[in-house]
This record gives sequence, structure tokens and C-alpha cells, in this order.
Amino acid sequence: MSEISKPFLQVNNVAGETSLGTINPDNAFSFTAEPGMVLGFPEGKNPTLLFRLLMALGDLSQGIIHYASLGGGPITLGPLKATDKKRPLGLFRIPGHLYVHLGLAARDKGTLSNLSLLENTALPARYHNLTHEGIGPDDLARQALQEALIPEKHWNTRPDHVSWEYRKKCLLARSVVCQPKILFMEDPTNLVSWEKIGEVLFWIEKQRSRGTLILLCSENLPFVYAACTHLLSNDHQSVVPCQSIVNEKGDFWPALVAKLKNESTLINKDSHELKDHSNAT
Amino acid sequence: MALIDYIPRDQGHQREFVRVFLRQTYYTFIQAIPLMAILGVFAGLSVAFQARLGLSFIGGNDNIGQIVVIVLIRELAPLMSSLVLIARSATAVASELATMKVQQEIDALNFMGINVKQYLLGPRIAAAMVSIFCMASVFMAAGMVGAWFGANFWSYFPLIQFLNSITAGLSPLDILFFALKTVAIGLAIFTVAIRNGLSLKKAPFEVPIVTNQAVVDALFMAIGLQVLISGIFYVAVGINI
Repeated sequence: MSEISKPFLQVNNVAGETSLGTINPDNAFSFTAEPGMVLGFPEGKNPTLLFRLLMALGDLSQGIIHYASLGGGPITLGPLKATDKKRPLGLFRIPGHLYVHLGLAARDKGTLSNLSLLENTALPARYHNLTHEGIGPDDLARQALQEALIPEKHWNTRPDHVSWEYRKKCLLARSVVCQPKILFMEDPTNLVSWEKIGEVLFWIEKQRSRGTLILLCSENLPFVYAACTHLLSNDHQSVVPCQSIVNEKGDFWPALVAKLKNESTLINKDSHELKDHSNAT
Repeated sequence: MALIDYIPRDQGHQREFVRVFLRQTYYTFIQAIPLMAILGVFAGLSVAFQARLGLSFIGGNDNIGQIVVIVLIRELAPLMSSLVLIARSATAVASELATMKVQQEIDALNFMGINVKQYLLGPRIAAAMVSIFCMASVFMAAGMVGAWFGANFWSYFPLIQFLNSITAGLSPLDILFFALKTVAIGLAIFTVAIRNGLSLKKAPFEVPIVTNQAVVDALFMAIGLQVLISGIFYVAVGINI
């Protein structure tokens, strides 16, 4: 099979160890994904570990991860050979400058407490000296904060002085400031109140429309069904379209999903402000 | 530890390095200037006062400069700067890094492809090396002022005579060893603080433990280096009083 015909992201029988825990070989992951997909993992711990392995922030004990095009060329990550730890099967670390193509929106922690929300968001773009269509790192950060619906008055505030919701949104903004090709999202509705979940859904849809591949894990099933185009099966071995599963579950899930999607459309795209739900209903 | 790993090469990386370096230098040196100046004045005053008292019995007032050079420049300035650096900044860096680890901020830097050594540690180590040298220089300058007041406490001691006496006691090697000593001690103190700060596993209750450990280790390291480098100096130059 030539490189061109390979899927954008190919994960084959991957297990390994990260600083947060271990994916056992029994729970190994195998799937493929393409740009524009929102692939849901309806559980918490294992996908969190997998995301770190996909970002080469852990050691694979088995399997292969293949990115068809990351920074221009293909990248293959593999485990270290047991017999010779100096010679991996493929790469086992991603070169630092390619991390601009990978974004991770962590579950709750991870904002740098000595930087403001704006500085936090701008940090990866500044560090990698990134510009997009003539827009510099600071303006990219402002755009990302605007998209995440963080009011401008909080931009120069440190994370510990704003609510958890804004901290979470700052994590979301920072994960896309470099406009990555792949976005990993850990429990995007964590720390977000129910009435604001529509905003997150709207934000995800916006990233997807740019052709970003989104891998999302959450135990909030209605949200996963609403946000994802595809889901990974429980055995971690196959990808199925999300809509088919929702329909199989009877009336309950479609009704919840429809309600969530309806909330996301209430967001005023021009002003980036959420309409008053109580008035709208 | 290869120091070269801590130096960034790309433009964006260098800009962030400088930004963090300046911020750390502000906290470590600029904010410590009043403290170092006050300590320096009192130390100089005390040293010169005691020296003048003793020397006046044997008619050796002209040697006061040598004593000030030996006590202040060779020993007291690096030692006091080390103690202030440990008390103010090593504790801060150790607890900051430990807290960053608990809050998964260091993991977050890894997600963003940010080299932790070059972004987080390198600028702090560089700032410590520069800051301790500057702190010791401030201490030394303030110490000279204090020493002149101390020398004039009982009877008039002309400024020109005081400066001549200092110049006679000071050699270029003194300056070289002063720079070497302070920079080496600064490097050692922050390396110890960083190592302890990053040694934390996960739990927040470990933050004060690793901070305490950093202080103890840094004190031993600083005093050990102080003795070692002074020893090398006296072996190289000889005791020339």
C-alpha cells in the first residue's frame, strides 16, 4: 500500500505506558481516522492514556501509530525493541516542531498559573514562532479566545482568578491556537455547566469545519452522541458512524442529542455571544 | 546534565527564554537589591569597625583595606548572596516547579511541544548565575560604603587612604575568583532546587517536603563550594596578607 492511500491516522494494536497509567495489551486500540471526523471514545481513562501515546508522551509496548501527513511527511511511531532499547521500530518521539500539528485540550489542569489567559493561549504559537496568513501569535491567541467565548475583560487575568469554566475554555483555546491537524479532547464538558454545553458543541463543530480531525473522550454520552460523527466500539477495534448507534437506542438519545444540537445553534455566530436561553425558549 | 541542552536555538524559543530569564532575574536580583544593600552596609560597617579596633592596637591601620577585601569580597559577599538566594529564590523555584508538576503544567508544556529544559529550567539557571553575581556585587559595593563608615567610627580615616588601602589589597585574581565563585554557587543552588522541585511525584502534600529538602541540599552545596573554591584560590595564589 502506498503512503498516499493510507488513512490520515492509523492506530494498530496500540498499548503502552504513560505517566498517568498503562494501557494493557488486552485493551489495545486499533482504528483509522480521517480529517473532518469527530471520533468519540465514550469512556474516560484509557482514551486519555491513548491520547498521550498518540502524542508520543509515553512508551508504546506494542503496536504502530502512523500519521500520513504531519508537517509535510509521514510519521510512524513504534515501540522500542526489547532487545535493543536504542533502536526503536520507527520513531518513538515526535520532533518538537511538529507539535504545532497536534492539539490537546486537557480535562481540567494544565493552564500555567503565572501567565494570563491570553499569555497561556499565545504561548505555543509564540514558542513555535507561528504565523498564519500574516497573523502573528498574539492575534491568533485573541482569535482563539474569542472563538472559545471568553469575555475580553478576562483575557489579561490569571487562570486562578477566573471561574473553572473560563479555565476550561482557555484550555480549549490554547489547544487550537496553532490550528492543529489533529485535536485531542479530554472530557470537553467537564467543568462546563449544562446550559453552556451548547457553546462547546458549537466550538467543536467550528473546528471540524476547518478539516481538523478531532478525537474526543467523555463519559457524558448524550454529548458524545451529539458531538461525534463516529464512535469507537467498546472493544477498541472498530469505528462506527455515530448516528446509527443513536437510532438504535430508541427515542431517548435522539431527543437529548436534538436538544443539545438545538442549544448549539442558539449561539450568535457574529457577536460570539450566547443568546439568552430563557428568552429563546 | 549537559548545559548545552538548556540553551535554545530557534528564534521563538530564544525569545521565550529571554522573557522567562528577565522575569526570573527581576524576582531574584532586582527585588533583592534593597536587602543586599542593607546587609552589605551593616556587614561592611561591622567588619571595618572590628578591624580598625584591632589594627589600631598594632598601628596597622593601613591594612584595613586588605581585611575588607579578604572578608567582604572573597568570603562574605558570595556567602551572604548564596544565603539570600537560597532563602528567597531557591525555595520559590523548588515549590513553583513542584506545584507545576502537581497541577500538570509541566505535562501541558510537553503537549505543546515546548522543551521543558529550554523554556522552564534553562532561563532560571541562567538567571540564578547572573543574579547571584549581581547580588554579590551590590553587597560588595554597599559593604565598601559601610566599611568606610566603620573605619571612621572612632577617628577620621581619609577616603583616599581607605580606597588606596582597598586597591592595594585587591588583585585581578580576586575579581576572577569572585565571579567564578558566585556563578558556580548560583548554578549549583538552582540545579539542586530544580532537581528537588521536579522530584515530586503527584501529591500536593509533598510540595513543602521537597522545598525543605531543596533548602538543606542547597545550603550544603553552597557552603561546600564556598570552601572548595576558596581553598583552590589560596592554593593557587597563596596566603598573601
